[in-house]
Amino acid sequence: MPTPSCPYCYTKIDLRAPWFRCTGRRSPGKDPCKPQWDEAREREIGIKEMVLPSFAGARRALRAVTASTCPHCGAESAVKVCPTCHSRLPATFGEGRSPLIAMAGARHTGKSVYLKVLSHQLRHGMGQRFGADVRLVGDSQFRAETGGGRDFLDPAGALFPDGGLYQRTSQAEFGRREPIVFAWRQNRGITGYETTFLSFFDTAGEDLIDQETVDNLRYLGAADALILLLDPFMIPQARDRIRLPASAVDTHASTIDVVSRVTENLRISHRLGGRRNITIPVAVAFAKIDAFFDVLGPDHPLVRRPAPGPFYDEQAGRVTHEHVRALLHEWGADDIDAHLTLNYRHFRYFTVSALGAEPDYDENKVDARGVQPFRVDEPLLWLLSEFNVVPRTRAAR
Amino acid sequence: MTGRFETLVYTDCRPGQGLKGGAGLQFQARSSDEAAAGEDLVRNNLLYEPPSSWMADRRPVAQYPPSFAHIRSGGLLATASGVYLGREANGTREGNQLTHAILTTDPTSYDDLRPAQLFRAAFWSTEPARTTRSAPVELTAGAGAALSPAHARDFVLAQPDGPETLRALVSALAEAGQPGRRRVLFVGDDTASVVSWIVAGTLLVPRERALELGFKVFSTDPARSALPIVAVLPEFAGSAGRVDNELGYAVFDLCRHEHTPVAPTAAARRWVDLFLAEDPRDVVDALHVATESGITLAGEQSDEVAAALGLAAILHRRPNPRYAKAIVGWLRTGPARMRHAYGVDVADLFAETPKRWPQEVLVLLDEVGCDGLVPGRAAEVRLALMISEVEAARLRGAVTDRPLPALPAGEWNADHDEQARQVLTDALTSGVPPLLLAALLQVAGRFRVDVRWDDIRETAEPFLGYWADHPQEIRSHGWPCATALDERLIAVLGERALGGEAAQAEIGDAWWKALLRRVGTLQQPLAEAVLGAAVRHSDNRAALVEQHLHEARHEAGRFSWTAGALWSRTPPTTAELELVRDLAPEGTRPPAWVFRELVAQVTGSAVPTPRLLDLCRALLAGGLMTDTSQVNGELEDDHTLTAVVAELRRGPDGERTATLLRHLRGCSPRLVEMRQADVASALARVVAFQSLDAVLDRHPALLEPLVARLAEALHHEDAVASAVLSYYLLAGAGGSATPQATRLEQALGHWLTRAQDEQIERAGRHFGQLDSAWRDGWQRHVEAYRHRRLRYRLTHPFGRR
Repeated sequence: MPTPSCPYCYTKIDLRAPWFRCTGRRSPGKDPCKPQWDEAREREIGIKEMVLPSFAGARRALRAVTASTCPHCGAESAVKVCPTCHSRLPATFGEGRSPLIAMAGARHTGKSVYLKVLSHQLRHGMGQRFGADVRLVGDSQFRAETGGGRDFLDPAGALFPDGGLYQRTSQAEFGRREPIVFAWRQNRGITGYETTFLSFFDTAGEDLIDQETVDNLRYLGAADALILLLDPFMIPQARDRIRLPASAVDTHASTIDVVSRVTENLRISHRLGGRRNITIPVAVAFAKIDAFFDVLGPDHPLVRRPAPGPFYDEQAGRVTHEHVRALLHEWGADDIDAHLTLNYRHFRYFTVSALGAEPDYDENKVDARGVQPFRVDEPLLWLLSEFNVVPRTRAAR
Repeated sequence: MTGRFETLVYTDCRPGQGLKGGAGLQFQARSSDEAAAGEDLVRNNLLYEPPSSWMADRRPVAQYPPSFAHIRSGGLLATASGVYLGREANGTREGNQLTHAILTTDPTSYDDLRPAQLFRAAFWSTEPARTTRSAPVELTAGAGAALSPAHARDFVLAQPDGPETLRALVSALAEAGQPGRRRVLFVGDDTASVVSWIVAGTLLVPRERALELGFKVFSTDPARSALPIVAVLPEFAGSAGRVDNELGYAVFDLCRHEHTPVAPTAAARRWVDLFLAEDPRDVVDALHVATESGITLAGEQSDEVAAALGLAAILHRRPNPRYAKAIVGWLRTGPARMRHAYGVDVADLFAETPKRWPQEVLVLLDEVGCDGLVPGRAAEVRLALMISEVEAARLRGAVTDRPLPALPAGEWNADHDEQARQVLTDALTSGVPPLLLAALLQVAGRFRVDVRWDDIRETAEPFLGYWADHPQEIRSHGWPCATALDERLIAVLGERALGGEAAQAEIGDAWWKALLRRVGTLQQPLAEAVLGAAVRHSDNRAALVEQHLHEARHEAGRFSWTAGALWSRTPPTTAELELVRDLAPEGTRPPAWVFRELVAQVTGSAVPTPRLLDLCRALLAGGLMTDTSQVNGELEDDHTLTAVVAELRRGPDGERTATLLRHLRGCSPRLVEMRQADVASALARVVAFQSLDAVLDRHPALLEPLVARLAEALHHEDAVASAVLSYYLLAGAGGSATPQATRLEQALGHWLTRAQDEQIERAGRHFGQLDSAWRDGWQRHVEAYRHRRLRYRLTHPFGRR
């Protein structure tokens, strides 16, 4: 099993040497531990608050260590933390794949909206579809700013309750960003239950404006997979085929520039040099595809939804991939395809629409009929199938 | 104010509007390329943080509070003001904001302002700069006036539990953000209110500390703000906003008017109370002086003494006397910059009421006066110091010999002279005991006070009597009226010296050390007492005697007096009398007591020495000593003795020998003993039997040296006479085994073993004068050594002694 990374500080975690956080409960004859300053926590993830002390548990040989005794107060604790940054980890962290999935894309591509809708689908459709229990985890992501889950990005919240779209995403501080972590728990048959943790990192478009800030995005380099969201409105020949309000188009953001910067970051992070291609799977999703439904026609493969089932439809995925590639050539954006082909060992094109209908760009509101997500889940399902979390149907030869 | 700052403007830009050229949030402008060094610092710490949920709720822009923040890091100081602008510049989404930051590397750019006082200063911009080059900011007079100390004071007093809250805040700020210490978290919804608290709090911590105390108003995530002071809107505070949180925040909830309990520090209590009661501007200045003073108490940092100094310098508060010494010391040793700025005011405060300070403070203050730091008051300080010392001398006899530096020219005038004289005259004539009066005179001497003799004459008389009796207790260095006092003292001593030998001895013993150097100026009785005591007690008597005899050697009368004075208490030694013999001018007639001891030695029962007799003859011959029959008799006896000895040495015949031995028998035993070596040597050369017995009977002390002499002669000389005398003495001793007899026996045996037969024969003939028993006895004695003689001759065929 690959060594997982901490979703908070992105360092690899040695599962044979787990760390725990004291519970602060009193054990017989001893004073309980009190919250104290944690230098590692402050240094690694910038949280400057007192917290109950963390300690190294016993190294495990063959059996999993699920709890350990606090050396200070003697109380037993099963609260796992990252050995490096002492962030609390889910109890089942490390028992299955725990990929870090980064989102990247130019400004105005709709990354946050996509992530919000994807999160909603994870909680409200995909779990049932795959017989999995999908839930949010983490001890800080909803706490600081929202006081407990009222943030617009709250994946547990309603989907655009007042129809309002989102504000821009703030830039990462010190190159860090808090992930949104989902636990995907399902029965694996003979091997029993397994929990996979999916950590999503949103990215502000401003962070991809220049190489310097891209290089600071540490989570990009630590990501096990990438969802690269592309805005077809930024491709001139694509844009010319549809009618869009001026407020919907940011003609100054270059898709290929953003992709190039991300590529550069990954090459450096993975120490690949120039001869080898990047190995992590990259789902390249063209967003806002609903704007092209009329242009493509109702029978176009990109407009059809694959048959739903507890699997990833590899056949439909390949078809989509090829059609998107064809569209790129048709739109004169083959530089994107060339870049991806020549830099990534494993990528696939997708078309998605988080909202399913054109929003009111001037008022920044969703369509009055509501949100109708279109093939939003496919990039993630493809990645999960790559990680063997979900099965895939065999493609036709 | 001359503080200059570089600037940065961060906002959402249209393409081409910002420094990166593209669209989006970025630094839109900076005042110079140097300002780029602060971009990371500003971006990571000072940017406006619009609450996401508010944006999602589409709140009106007007409801977003402005932000204000400050940080000091990596040599940079940055303060920033931000506003929420609503929709982005190049789109329709929420989230646009503008942060205008000022930066400097020079802390003095803030002048005496705390960063929080710059809130709402006129230079803050809420719009992007026209170009990518923003204008630098220069603090002008009036910057920060809206948040002046007075405003802060009024604000605090208007708040519920304002003073108590401020004490807690200042106490918390003292350590906020330091490793292991709580940070300060304001929970409130009004930027101005939070900033006012920060202004009030940071005004009451040292300026450098205030610059270090970074703050952010508001942060949406205090946990991730690295700054020591963070403000958060109530709805985003979460558990961190609870006053009883265990997350490491000292929470000041401005909505509920409650705060985390913080034990107020002594400094917080002091400065807050003063801030609210006095002119707050002055209190802030006083705190600045206290902080920058570098003053220490007993070598250690002390907030209390620093505060006392600050308050003295700015509020003109008289410091606690406990700290007065340290503060006055600081006036001479503190940092030059601070002394230059505040030294005169502080010194003036002390000099205003010099009499209230203890002497040790006045000493330091006087030194300050000598430095010219209290122009026009230095003389008053010195007078106060003198009065203090007069009191110490009058009450305890305590006087210091610490030198007094000179006052600056023009400080001391005739009035001060008169005041000083009056103070000391009053003290001297107040009937103090002699020792205290002496102390007062010493104080007068230290301060060069011209006390008049006429004013203290009466007081001085009993003092002089005490002084005459106790010279060791009183030192008169540097006294006023020194001449008059000295004259009177000498007069008193002179009068006492007239009181006879006992009085002289007493005075001499007490005063010889003090008066010896000036003995030539003293009246004779006193001088005699001094010289007599000096000879008696001095460790360097020989030099003393020689010096004075030399000085007097040209005048017979003076020499005679000097000799009499020198040995008035102690008889002269032989060497000293020899000096008299050698140095005395003609006509000298020292008093008889000078020779009393010599005469006693010559004529007494003890054995004199030839040196004494010779000295005696010389003194008599020089007319220095008066002769007496006793002395003359002794000298004549000695003359006879020496004549007899001389003749015996020449080996007279038997009859003359007998005559001489009779004379010898009649000589004084003391004199024979004195010259026993010469006498024994002479006796060993002559052969006399009965007359020798008579001599030895009369002078038994001669036996030992005679035996020694005989034994020596028997070993080394052709000693027939010695052998005869030896046998005579041995045979007469009847075989006694005294050490002398044994020694003589061995010596005679030695001689008999080695002597020639002819010598033995000659010796035997001497015994012919006696009866046959002596001859037979001698023969037997010789025979007893026959075998030894034979062996000796066999082993020494050519003879050997």
